[in-house]
Amino acid sequence: MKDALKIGGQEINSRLFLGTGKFSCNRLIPEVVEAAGANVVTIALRRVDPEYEEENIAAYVPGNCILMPNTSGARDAGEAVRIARLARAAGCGDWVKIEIITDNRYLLPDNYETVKATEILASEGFVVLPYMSPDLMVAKRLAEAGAAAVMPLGAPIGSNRGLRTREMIRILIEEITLPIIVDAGLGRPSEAAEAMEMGAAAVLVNTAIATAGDPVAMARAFGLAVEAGRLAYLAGPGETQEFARASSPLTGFLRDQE
Amino acid sequence: MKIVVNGKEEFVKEGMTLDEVINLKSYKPAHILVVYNSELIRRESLAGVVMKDNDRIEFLKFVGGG
Repeated sequence: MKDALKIGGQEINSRLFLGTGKFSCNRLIPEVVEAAGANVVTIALRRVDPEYEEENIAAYVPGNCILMPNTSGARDAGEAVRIARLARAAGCGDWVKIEIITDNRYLLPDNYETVKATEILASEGFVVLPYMSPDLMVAKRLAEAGAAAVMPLGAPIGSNRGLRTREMIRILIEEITLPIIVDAGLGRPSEAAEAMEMGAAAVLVNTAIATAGDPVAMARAFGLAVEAGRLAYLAGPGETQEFARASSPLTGFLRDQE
Repeated sequence: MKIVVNGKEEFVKEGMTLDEVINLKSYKPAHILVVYNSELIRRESLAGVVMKDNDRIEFLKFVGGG
């Protein structure tokens, strides 16, 4: 039976979603997307400064990918909704990652404004993937508001600190039927694998790949880790034990009789 | 007359069109999104939009983000 990830009525082949920020050179992006095997790619919307020659990032994202604009820069639901509508009008499709942040130190999202924005945008036909601090009641509100998935952070954006919120994410995976996509803070492929072994539907990675010594190789590593983690989850890991349980038989030893 | 461009007040001649504002600011239309009073304006329609007092224009583009 095919293990498909379905979001917003679409089947997604890859459970590794990719961010496009912080790359030293945008020309790396097509190769990174291919190495990661990613199908969903995030971008951001900003004002243009005519004094700087800036590239159009969308030109570097392969045409068969789903573009998921984020609402980064939004400080409340109203700003997030405005950004989402502009992105859709610009041809990005219906997917949107809601990102509403006023905390400048840890970049932790505003869960309450995120619920409000989710409700408005879901009612307008958007496929809404809200980025949130893992909180079960907020996740339930997001599901009721029409979110297509829930994206709890593993650790602060760009921190590479891994699955610091693992216990809360575990609770979300148990209690929420929507796909749980761990977004932010994953620093190593092993951490992405751990998230998938726990039962996360997918992970979103940006900094760990973009700022690696070799982003293309790191993208491939993350892609393999996500696949391995998902396979392990489906295979059903064995239980943990407090004491040792021998792997070899405890009879028929080759030793002198006493 | 006064218009607001990317959040800043600017003063332009009466009757100026949106594509003329773009040229004035040295933007390259091929790479930007033009939002006029909260509405996205397609490139082919820029010359047909005449500025009015207190109009708001946003020049936007997609950039890398996570």
